[in-house]
Amino acid sequence: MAFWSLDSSGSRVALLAESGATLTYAELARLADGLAAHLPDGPVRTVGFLLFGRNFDAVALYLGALRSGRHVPLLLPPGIHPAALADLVAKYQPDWIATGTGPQSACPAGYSQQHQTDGIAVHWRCESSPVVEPREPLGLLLSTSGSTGSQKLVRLSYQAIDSNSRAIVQYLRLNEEDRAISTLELSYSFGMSILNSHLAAGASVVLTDQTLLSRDFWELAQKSHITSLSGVPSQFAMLRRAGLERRGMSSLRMLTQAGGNLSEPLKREFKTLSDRLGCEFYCMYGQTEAAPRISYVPPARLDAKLGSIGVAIPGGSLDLDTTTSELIYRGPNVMLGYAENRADLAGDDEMRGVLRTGDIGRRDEEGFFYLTGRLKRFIKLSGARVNLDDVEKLLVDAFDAQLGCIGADERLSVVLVESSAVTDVAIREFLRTRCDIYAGLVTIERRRELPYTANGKLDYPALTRLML
Amino acid sequence: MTKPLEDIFSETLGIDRQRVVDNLEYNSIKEWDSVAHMALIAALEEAYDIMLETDDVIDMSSVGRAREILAKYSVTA
Repeated sequence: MAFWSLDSSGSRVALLAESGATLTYAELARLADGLAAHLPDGPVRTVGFLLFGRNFDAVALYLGALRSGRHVPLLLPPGIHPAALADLVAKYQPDWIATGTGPQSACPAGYSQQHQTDGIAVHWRCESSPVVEPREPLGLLLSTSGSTGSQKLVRLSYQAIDSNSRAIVQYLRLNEEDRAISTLELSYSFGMSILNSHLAAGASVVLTDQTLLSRDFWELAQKSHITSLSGVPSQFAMLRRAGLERRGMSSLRMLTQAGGNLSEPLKREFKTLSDRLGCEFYCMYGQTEAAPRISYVPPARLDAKLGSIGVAIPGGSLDLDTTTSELIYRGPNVMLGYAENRADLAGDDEMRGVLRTGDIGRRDEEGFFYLTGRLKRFIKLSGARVNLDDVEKLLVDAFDAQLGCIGADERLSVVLVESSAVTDVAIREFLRTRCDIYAGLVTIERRRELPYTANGKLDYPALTRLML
Repeated sequence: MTKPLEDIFSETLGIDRQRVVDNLEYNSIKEWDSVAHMALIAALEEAYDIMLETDDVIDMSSVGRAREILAKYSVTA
């Protein structure tokens, strides 16, 4: 049965809150169905936005939507920029929107509040003009990059998230004694997969907004006897700064890492620490487009395969394009395709289980894969995918300036033409407020001229060479 | 002459100096999230030539707490 059937022994704890409150599987199922009853009546299939806070009600509504089989949620970060939310609303005309209940969570324009609980408020679309119905087997929508203005969404079938959660249970050997803690946003594919897989295993998840660098987080983690800690590369830097070995995590049995490449020194450091603590350290790779997990390195092989993304998860397979060496993944968790507007939600399965990852790779003699480059113009900043073309467009539109965006993981570079009047401060401020990009990850440079190709577009490879 | 704490907070977090008051708490404003906290720790260590212990890193929950913690390292800022 799929993880949203919440079938595991009803009295087992599924979720824990910071307050110490718990929700059993049976209670969660009841709460889920109860909240879903406040979504628009059937039989039409609906599309809704869920601003996914780390609380019982938001998780319950997410599951209630899946359980209904007809409400397709788009998971969004609760702190989504109002302008980004408005753009998405305009493109997809959701039938309902579930926000938080804090002071910043106003009812969106064109929607009226139907129901409110401690954790969420459900709003329905006022206008009743007909909209395209999302078509089966579409079950879930995820954003490709929440904060940089891209409204492109990933369409996932029920089978995609169901199969991926089972595969995760298998390769991590999750069981009902496992307990995770929400170090990642639940709207982020990695964070969501932790929730999905733990529910699939009859395990539990501690929900908190506390972070790795606060004492409160560690007290909660220790008191809750968590068995795993997961994070993106920047969070592993935080784990080191927080001194994991001094935090009294005696129940910890594994660390898992995804969301970009962790540097080899840090990998070695955490492998050594894990061995000392008696934990397993899993380095993993995935994409939102694969619901999301694709590969992992079996912990016992990590020392020998430090730079590798590992082997495919159970049920999937990895290959390389013979001409371009692009990494190709095949599996039941591959998305149906993208969507750029409401009409696309009725689209077909364009991928047929085959995902061209956009990453270039190689394979060693034991069948372990390694990434050697990237075909698409995006980077990862703190685990989040940032599309360079999108950021560039936002900057060009905002400042009417001649500039280009390039970069690598954990570093965004903005290159302006020397004659531009735009200040560095103005650019950093814009990137921080509009794109949620931390100033410390941005370098700004000026050059006398920027290189262009014959058809008038910026020559990015040349620009990158210019910056070396 | 040690650099005032308010300057370090103001510069690293990218906020006006007036907002740097003792009861300003970590994670209470967008500008002071965990990514910024890492930069803050590094900036404090560099400015005062100290190495903060992990316990102090996770206890630095406000500007006021930062001042108290720095005093342990003989830094008056």
